[in-house]
Amino acid sequence: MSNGSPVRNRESRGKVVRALDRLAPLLVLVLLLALWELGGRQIRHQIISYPSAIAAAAYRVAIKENVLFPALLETLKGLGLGYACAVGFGVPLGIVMGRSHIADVILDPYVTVLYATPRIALIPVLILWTGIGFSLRVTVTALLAVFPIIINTYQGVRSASPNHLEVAASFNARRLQVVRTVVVPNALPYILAGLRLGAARALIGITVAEMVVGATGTGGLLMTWGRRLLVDQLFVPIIELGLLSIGLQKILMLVERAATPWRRAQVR
Amino acid sequence: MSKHSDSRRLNTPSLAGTGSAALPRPAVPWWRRSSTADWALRVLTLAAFLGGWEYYARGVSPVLLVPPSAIAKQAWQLIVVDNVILPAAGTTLSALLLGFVVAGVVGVTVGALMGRFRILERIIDPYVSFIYAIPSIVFVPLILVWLGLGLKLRVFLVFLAGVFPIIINTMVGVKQVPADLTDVGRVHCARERDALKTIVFPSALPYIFVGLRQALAQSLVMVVVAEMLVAITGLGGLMVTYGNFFHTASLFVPLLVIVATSLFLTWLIRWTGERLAPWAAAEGKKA
Repeated sequence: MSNGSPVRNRESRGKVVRALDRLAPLLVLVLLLALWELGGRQIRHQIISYPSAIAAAAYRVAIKENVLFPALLETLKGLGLGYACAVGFGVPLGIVMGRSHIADVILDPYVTVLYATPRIALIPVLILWTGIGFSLRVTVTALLAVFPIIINTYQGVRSASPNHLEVAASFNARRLQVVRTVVVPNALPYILAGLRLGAARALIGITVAEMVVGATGTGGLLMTWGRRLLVDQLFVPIIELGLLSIGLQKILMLVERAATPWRRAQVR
Repeated sequence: MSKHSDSRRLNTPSLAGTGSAALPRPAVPWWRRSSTADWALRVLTLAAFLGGWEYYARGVSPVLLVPPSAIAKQAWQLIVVDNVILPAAGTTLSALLLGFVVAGVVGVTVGALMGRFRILERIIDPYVSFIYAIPSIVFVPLILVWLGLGLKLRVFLVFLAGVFPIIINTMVGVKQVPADLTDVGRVHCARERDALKTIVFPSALPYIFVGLRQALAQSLVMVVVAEMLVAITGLGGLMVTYGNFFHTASLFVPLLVIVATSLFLTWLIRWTGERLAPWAAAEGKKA
């Protein structure tokens, strides 16, 4: 019961208040949509669109013209490959940095600096190196996603209990055995949290890359329709990317729950 | 406790998904945490890296890669002789700071209200969560149609990128005030305003600062993207221009200025937070 006012008597909340609690969000949503619809119809439709126009535009671009889903597929290709690279590179690097003092000392400044800077600013340099095609989109995606993964893995590895490590050492476990049986299981919640953060960054990366360098994918649609002032159509990829982002997070949360059942037991 | 479900949404690596598992860090300045040998190793590898880069880049086309010495020379030329970098940095920073201040004021206010009044949280939270989940960059074309190409566009985009992390962290901070503290306040018959000022706000302060730091990171990305994508001004605009002319040595100068700026601002927020809420740093509460 950490919500609400600490000084006000909470017992006085009646059933009416609780019902209002549940209904209010819905009412507000309906009200907002209605206001938007009515207001939007008054003003010039080009600039401020309204819900029914957006729905019509969604139907148009998704079914009739069928441009939405091919673009989404293109986005998902870049996203998937870039994210896979980030995971394949970030997790091992995080483990190495967490286990080897020398690697930690050498690499930590670069990881910290790159993590704190807007890596988007590297795009103009990357264009020179990779061109403006698929490989650029994959690179940008991986570059944005990899740092939360490295840092979370590193923190997870560092949080291994000294007792467990000592037990492993006293049983003469080799380095790789220690990593496999002690370090990684302990770090798993951190790694999975890093993967979830990385996925959010990866989505930003692929979208920006598509918007900056070319008329491909969902980001390309955004730029093209934005230039043509098609505001009603513009809302469609925005909502689509929002749903995609939430969907990715939900999936990764399910993975987290399935892969670390002991944490679920701790929380509940 | 609602703590766990909330901390899932905080985007700091150490808070997210791991509950309160953040490692306490010793309150020693960073340069003293490592031994001399470690620093020697760092300096040596950096020197080897720069040396290798210099050697390799001298044999490659200057369009692809330029040696560090050429970048340094070009930095002097652009910053001091031509004086184009500082005005561009001013343009970038003014949009960034304006948007960030507005995001801070609005975000802390809305977040505090949502944390204090459950009904507001129920109503506003779905929108905050949904919009926060969308990479804010996708709003660029839409906001461009609405606001045009000027300073307004960049300020609003910075605001949009920054406000949601601040709202969410403030809300979590306000909701997480320890019950002991609020009980003490109640025993002493604190009024709502006093309770806010003396209990809730200080207790939420470390969370607010985590939010500000996340917001800064997002805002920086946003201002650079806005400059590269639509406005072509400021440091981002310079980078696009130099990139288009394949002037690689110049390209690295605004890039390095952006890196330095973001490091400085991140440090500044962390430092201010540690000054205003020293207990949090001691408890290892912060990311």
